[in-house]
Amino acid sequence: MQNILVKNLIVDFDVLNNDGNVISKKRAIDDVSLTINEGEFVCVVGRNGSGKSTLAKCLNALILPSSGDVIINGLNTKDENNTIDIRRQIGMAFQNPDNQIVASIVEEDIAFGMENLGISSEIMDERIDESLDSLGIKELRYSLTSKLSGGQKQKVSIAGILAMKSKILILDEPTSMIDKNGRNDLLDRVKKLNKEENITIILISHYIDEISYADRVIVLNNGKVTMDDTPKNIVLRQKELSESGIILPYIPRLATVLRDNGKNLKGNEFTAEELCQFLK
Amino acid sequence: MIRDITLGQYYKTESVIHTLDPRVKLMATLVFLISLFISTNIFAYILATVFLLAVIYLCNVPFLFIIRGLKSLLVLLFISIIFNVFLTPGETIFSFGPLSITKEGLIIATKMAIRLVYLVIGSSILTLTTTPSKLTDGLEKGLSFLNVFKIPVAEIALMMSIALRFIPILIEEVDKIMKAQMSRGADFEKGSIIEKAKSLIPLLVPLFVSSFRRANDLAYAMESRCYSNANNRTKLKPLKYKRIDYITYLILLLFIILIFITRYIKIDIRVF
Repeated sequence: MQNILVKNLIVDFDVLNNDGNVISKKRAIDDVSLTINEGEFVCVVGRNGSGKSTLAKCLNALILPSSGDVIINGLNTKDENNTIDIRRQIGMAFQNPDNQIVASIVEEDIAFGMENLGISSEIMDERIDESLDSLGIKELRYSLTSKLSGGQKQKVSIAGILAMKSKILILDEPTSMIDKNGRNDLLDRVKKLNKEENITIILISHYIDEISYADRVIVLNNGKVTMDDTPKNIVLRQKELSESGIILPYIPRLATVLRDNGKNLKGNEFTAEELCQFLK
Repeated sequence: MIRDITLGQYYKTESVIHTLDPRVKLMATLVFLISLFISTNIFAYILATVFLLAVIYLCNVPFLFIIRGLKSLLVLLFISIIFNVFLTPGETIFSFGPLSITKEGLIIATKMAIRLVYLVIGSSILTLTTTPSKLTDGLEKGLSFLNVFKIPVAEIALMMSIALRFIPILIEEVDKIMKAQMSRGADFEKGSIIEKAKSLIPLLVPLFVSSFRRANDLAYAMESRCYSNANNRTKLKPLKYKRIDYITYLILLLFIILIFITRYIKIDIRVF
């Protein structure tokens, strides 16, 4: 059973001059094909301008392919009649927590998506509690959204997606504007959603550390998929990674250096604990 | 500090006025404002005062809070009183060089002052007892008849509520840009009015650019949450009239009838 099917996807952007005329095309996504199955936790990494966000926006029909297909549970994004259905299945949280919150009060913001789907107020009421609870922020229900921290705002926008009963969650650099503690806390929650509620997670990130949360890592460079592997294997392919402009996270890098200097290590240890075990 | 600016100055407490349907409160404010401008004699003013005092008593908001809104009105009030007192022609009571105070001037100035003060207090009570989101909900529902004329009421209401939501964010942004420009030597304080206005350009341009960027992001976020059309949406808290709302409508009707009746009472009191 496959959730997301991307076939030979190409996306071109128009490059405009000052008069608004198209002077050239810029290829943002260059012949990408991939399949993402239900319940996977995929992390998409790549340097700035590698096409990560464009790929994410293609998945829920915010950007349509220049050629190729994106098919979500059998629905092609090219068909306008499918748009709402696709967006109902795929929720998306964006980079800037402030720019994606619509309402002044948390519960009203979570209701926004459900209101668009025409869900009755009784069901909305239940689902607001449910979705806030699954992110551990039940007490924020009546808070003002402008008083929340960045991490809390991101959780609220994810709760809004869960309330729509989306089974796929795309997170477009959700942690780039929040501090380290908030980041770990948010990703722990996301991981829990993936494990306990079998929600497919696609995490777009430019923090390479975050690949440790995923089951599968896709590396993009210049609009092409250059690597597609498990996190444990990816960190061993250091040369290819640096060709894609990615520097390994600190601990695997340390592990590699230790291994190369004759220590008995694999070189793909992610946590300090793992590293300690081998060093004993 | 700048984060603590509360919008629409909503005062959170429990009262009958707070629980009223926003449509009723909007209608009541409208009726009250109209009544002020059709009041001609002292009975009407007494009636309006009684009405206003009753609402102030019922709404459970400290009196100081309610009259706080008058502060910004003081200058306007002062100017309008001065102009009316000195510039209305009529029976002179007191002369002071070229200026003279007339009886008619005093009467008009008093009426004007009462109207302005009541107007501000009346509308403050509306915003003090109604959250901005309820207010826009009320406007949306109350004005939905305008849909007949192809006016997109639901869209406008959504725009209003989004605008309200972004005000604190933009205030913060202004603060940030100002500091950034000041650190590069910009001066927003000195100079004549024209120079001050000119110095705002380096503030406004980045503000506009970033607002458009935010709008773009927000549009993506709204679309990805299935927003397509404001009319087919359901509401988390649909507005429903309760008994108290119907009673209030009755009271309002009674009030406006009484105000009309006062127009036909002929009295002979020198002041009014």
